[in-house]
Amino acid sequence: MEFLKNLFVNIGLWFQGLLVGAGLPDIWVRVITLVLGAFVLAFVPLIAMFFLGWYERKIVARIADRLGPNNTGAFGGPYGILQIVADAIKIFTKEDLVPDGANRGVFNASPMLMLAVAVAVWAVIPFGEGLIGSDLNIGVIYILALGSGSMIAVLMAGWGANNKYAMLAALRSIATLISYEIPQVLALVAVVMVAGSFSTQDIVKFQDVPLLFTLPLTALLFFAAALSELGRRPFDLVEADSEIVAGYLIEYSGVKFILYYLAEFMNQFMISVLFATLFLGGWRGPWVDQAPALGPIWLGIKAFLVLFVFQLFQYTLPRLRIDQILGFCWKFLTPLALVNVCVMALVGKLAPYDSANPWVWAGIFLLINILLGALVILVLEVAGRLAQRRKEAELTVSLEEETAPA
Amino acid sequence: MLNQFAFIGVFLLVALIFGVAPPVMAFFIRPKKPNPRKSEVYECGMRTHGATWVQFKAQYYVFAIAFVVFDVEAALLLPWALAYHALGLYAVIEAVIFILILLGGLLYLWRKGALEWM
Repeated sequence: MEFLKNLFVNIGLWFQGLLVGAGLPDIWVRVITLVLGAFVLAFVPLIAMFFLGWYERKIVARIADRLGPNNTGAFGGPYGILQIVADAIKIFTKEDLVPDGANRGVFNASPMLMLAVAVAVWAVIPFGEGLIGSDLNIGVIYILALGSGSMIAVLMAGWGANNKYAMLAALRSIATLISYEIPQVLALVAVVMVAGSFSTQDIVKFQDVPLLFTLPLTALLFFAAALSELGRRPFDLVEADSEIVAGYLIEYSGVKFILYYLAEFMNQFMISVLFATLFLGGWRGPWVDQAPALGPIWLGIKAFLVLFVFQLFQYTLPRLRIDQILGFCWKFLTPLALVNVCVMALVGKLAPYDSANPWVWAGIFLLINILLGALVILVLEVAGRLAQRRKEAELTVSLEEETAPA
Repeated sequence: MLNQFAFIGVFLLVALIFGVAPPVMAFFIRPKKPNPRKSEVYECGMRTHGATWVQFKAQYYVFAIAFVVFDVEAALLLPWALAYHALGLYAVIEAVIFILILLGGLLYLWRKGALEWM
C-alpha cells in the first residue's frame, strides 16, 4: 500500500536500486536512468494520443449527430477504441510523394521538427510532487521558446513545398501565430508575476487557490491565444479549405501528413495540460498529500475537461476571416493583456499575498477582475454603438446623394 | 540545476528521434512508384505558372515589426515579473508607465491603420 501511494517515484527508486545492486558505477546509473526516464516521458503524450484520437472522433461524431468509430471488427475493438491502430497501419503503407521542384531537405525536415517540438515540451510539465521531467527554473520560457520552433516548422513546410497555396498559407499562419504570441506571453507575465516563479512546479505549488479564480481575465486571454496558436476554430486558418485548400499541408502525403496531425493533436493536449497546470492547480487535488500517485490522475482529469472545451469550440463555431482574426488580436487581446498586466501589478502591490488566508486575497483579485471585465464590456458596447451610428450616417449621406436631383 | 539541463538535452534528442522514426519506418514499408503526373505540384489540375516563391504583401512586414517590438517588451517584462515580489511600489509604477507608453505606441499604430490586414 505504501508503495502504491507514491507509485511512480517508487518505481524509479526501485529501478535505480536495481542498477546500483547490479554493481554499476554511479555515473552509469545516472545516465541510464536519465535516458530511460526521457523515453518513458516521451511515450506519455504518444499513449495519450492513442486515446485522444478516439476521444476526439467520438466527440465530433456526437456533435454532428453520428456514432463515430464503433466497429468491433479485427481492428475496431470495443467501441472502436482500436480504430487508431488500423489508421496507423493504413498510413504507414501509403506512398510518400514529393512534388517537383520541392526543396527536399526542408520539405522532409518540417514535419519531423513539428513533432519533435510537440514532444519536447513535455519535459517541464509537472505530474506530481517530484514527478517532473526536469524542474527547470525557466520552465515557462522553455515552453515559449519551443512554441516558436513550431512556427519555423510551418514556414519550412510552406517554403519547401514549391506550391503557391502552401507558401501563402504558411505566411498567413505565421502572421497569426506571431500576433497571438504576444497576448499569450503577456498572460504568462501576469501568472509569473503573481506566482513569483518561472518554474512550472513552483507555479503549481503556489496555487492554494487555483489561479483561475485569482486571474480569470488572464486565463481567458491565455485560452483565446492558445486557441489561435493551435489553429482551432474560430481561428483556424490552416485548414481553411474554401480559401487555401489544405494550407501548408497541401503537398504532404502519407506518414509526413499524419505527423502534422499527430503534432497538432499533441499540441492541443499539451496546451490543455498547460492550462490545467497554470490555472487549475495542476496535479493538486483532494488526498494528493496522502497519496502522491493521484497527482497525474487529477492533472489528466483537469486536462480532459479543458480539452473538451477546446473541442466544443472547434466543432460548434464558424471560422473568422484573417483580417478579423488579426484585428481581434491586435485591437482587443493585446491592449487588454497590457492593461491586465498593469492592473494586476498594482493590485498585487496594494493587496500583498497572504498565505494565512489565500481565499481573501484571491477574492480581492477576483473582484478587480470582474470590474475590469465589466469595464471592457462597457467600452466594447460604446465603441460598437459609435461604429453603428457612423455607418448609418454614411448610409444616409450616400442615399441622399443618390436621390438628390441632378 | 545542471542535472536538470542534462535531462532537457537528452529529452530533446529523444524528441527528435520520435520525429524522425516514423518516416524512416515508413520508408521500408511504403510503395515507391513515382511518375511525372503524380509528382506535379498541386494546383487545381493545371500546371503551376511562374515561380512559386511568391512575394507577399508589405502589410505582413508591418505586423512582423510590431511583433518584434512587443516581443522585446515581453522579454523585458518577464524578469520584472519574476522579481515582482521583491520590488517596491515605486518600481511597479515605473513598469506600469513603461507598459502604458507601449500601449500608446499600439494606439498610434492603430490610428495609422497599420493593424488593418488588407
